[in-house]
Amino acid sequence: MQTIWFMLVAVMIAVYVVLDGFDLGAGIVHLLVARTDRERRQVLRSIGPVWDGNEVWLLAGGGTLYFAFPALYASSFSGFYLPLMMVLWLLILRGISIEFRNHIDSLVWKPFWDVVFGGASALLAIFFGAALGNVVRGVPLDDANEFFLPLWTNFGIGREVGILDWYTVLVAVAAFATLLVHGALWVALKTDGELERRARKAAQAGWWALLPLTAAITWCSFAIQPRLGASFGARPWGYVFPLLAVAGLIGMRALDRREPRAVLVLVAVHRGDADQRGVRAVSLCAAVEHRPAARADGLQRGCRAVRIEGGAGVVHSGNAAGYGLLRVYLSELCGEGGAGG
Amino acid sequence: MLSAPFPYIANTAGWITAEAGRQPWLIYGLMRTHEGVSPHVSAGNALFTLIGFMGMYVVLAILFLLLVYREIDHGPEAA
Repeated sequence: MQTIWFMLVAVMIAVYVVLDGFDLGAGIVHLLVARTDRERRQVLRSIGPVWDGNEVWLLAGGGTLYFAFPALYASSFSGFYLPLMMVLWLLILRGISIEFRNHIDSLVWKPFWDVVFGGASALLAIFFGAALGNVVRGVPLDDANEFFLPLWTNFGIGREVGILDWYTVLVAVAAFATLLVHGALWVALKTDGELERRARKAAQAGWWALLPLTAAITWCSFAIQPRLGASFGARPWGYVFPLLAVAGLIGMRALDRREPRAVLVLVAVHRGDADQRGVRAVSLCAAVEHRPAARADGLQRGCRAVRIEGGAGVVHSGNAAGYGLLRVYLSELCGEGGAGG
Repeated sequence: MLSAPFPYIANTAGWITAEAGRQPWLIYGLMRTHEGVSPHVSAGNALFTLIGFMGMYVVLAILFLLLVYREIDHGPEAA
C-alpha cells in the first residue's frame, strides 16, 4: 500500500517536473531568444494554454503527499518553511507577469513584466534544484522527527547544514541548465523562423553545459549520500532510470542531426533512501524533447512548409489545457501537424 | 458601480468570522491551536513571511485597481 502511494507521489512530481519544466524553461530562455515584442508574445502564447494546468500537478503531488505521508509532509513543510514561502511568491510573480503583460501597451510596462517572468522562472528552476539537492543529501531530524533549516550556514556539508551548501547549489545549477535546454527545445518546437533558430542554438549551448553538470551531480550524489549506492545495489532494476536519463542526453544530440520529426521524451526518476523512516525520495527527472532544425536543402524545405502550418495550428488551439496538451503535442510529434487541438 | 467592493468585503468578513470564531480550536473539539504550531518555525520567520505576503498583496491590489480603473475609463464598446 505504501509502495503504491509512494509511486503515485513520485509519478505526480515527475510529471510536474516534465510539464512545468518546459514552461519554466521557456521563461528562462524568454529574454535570451525572443527579442521583439512579437517574438515574446509567441513564446508566451506557446505556454499560455498549458502553464497553469501544468502547475496543478504540483498541487496534486503536494496534496497526495499530505494524504499519504502526513508525517513527512508536516516535517518537511515546517523544515523548509522559508524556501517554500519564497517559491510561492515566485509562482505568484510568474503568474501575474504572464497575465498582466499585455494589458498596458507601454515601453516600461511590458519589458518590466518580461524581466519579472524570466527572473522568477530562473529562480524557480534554481529553487527546485536546491530542493532536490536537499532531499538527496538529507536533513538533520531531531528526536521528534522535526527539523528547521536556515537558508545557509557555511556552505559546507557538516552537522549544521543549510538549505544552500555547495552540493545543493551544484544541483540547482544543473536543474537550471536542464530546464533551460528543456524550455529552449519547447520554444524551438512551437515557433519558427529566427526565434526557432535562436532557441535551438540556446538548447545546443545548454546541452554542452548540461553534460559536465550531469556527470558532476551524479558523482557528488553518490559521494555525499552513501545510501544511494546501497539502494541501487539492493534494487538493480533501479538503474533503468539513470540509464534512461543518459539515453535522453545522447538521443537529444544524435537526433538533432538526423531523423526529422523524431521525438524523444524521456523521464528519469531515480530514487534513494532519504530518511530514517524509510520514505524514499524522488529525484532527478530529466525530460528531453526534440525537433529538427529547419535546413535549407530541398528535401527539408518541403518538411518545413508543413511544419509551419502545423505550428500555426498548435498556436491557434489556445484552449487546449492540461491533458489536451499532451494530445496536441503528440499529434504534432507524430507528423499530423495542424490536426492537433 | 458603488456595489463593486461589496463582494470583496462580504467574502473577507466571512473568512475572518470563520477563522476567528473557531478559536481556540484548530480542529473543533480535537486539537487546540497551540498544539498545531510548528515547533521549529520561529516567530521571526513567521513575521518575515507575513510581511512578505502583505507586501505582495498590497502591490497586487494596486496593480488590480490600476487595471480596473483603466478598464472603467475605457468604457464599454459602442454597440
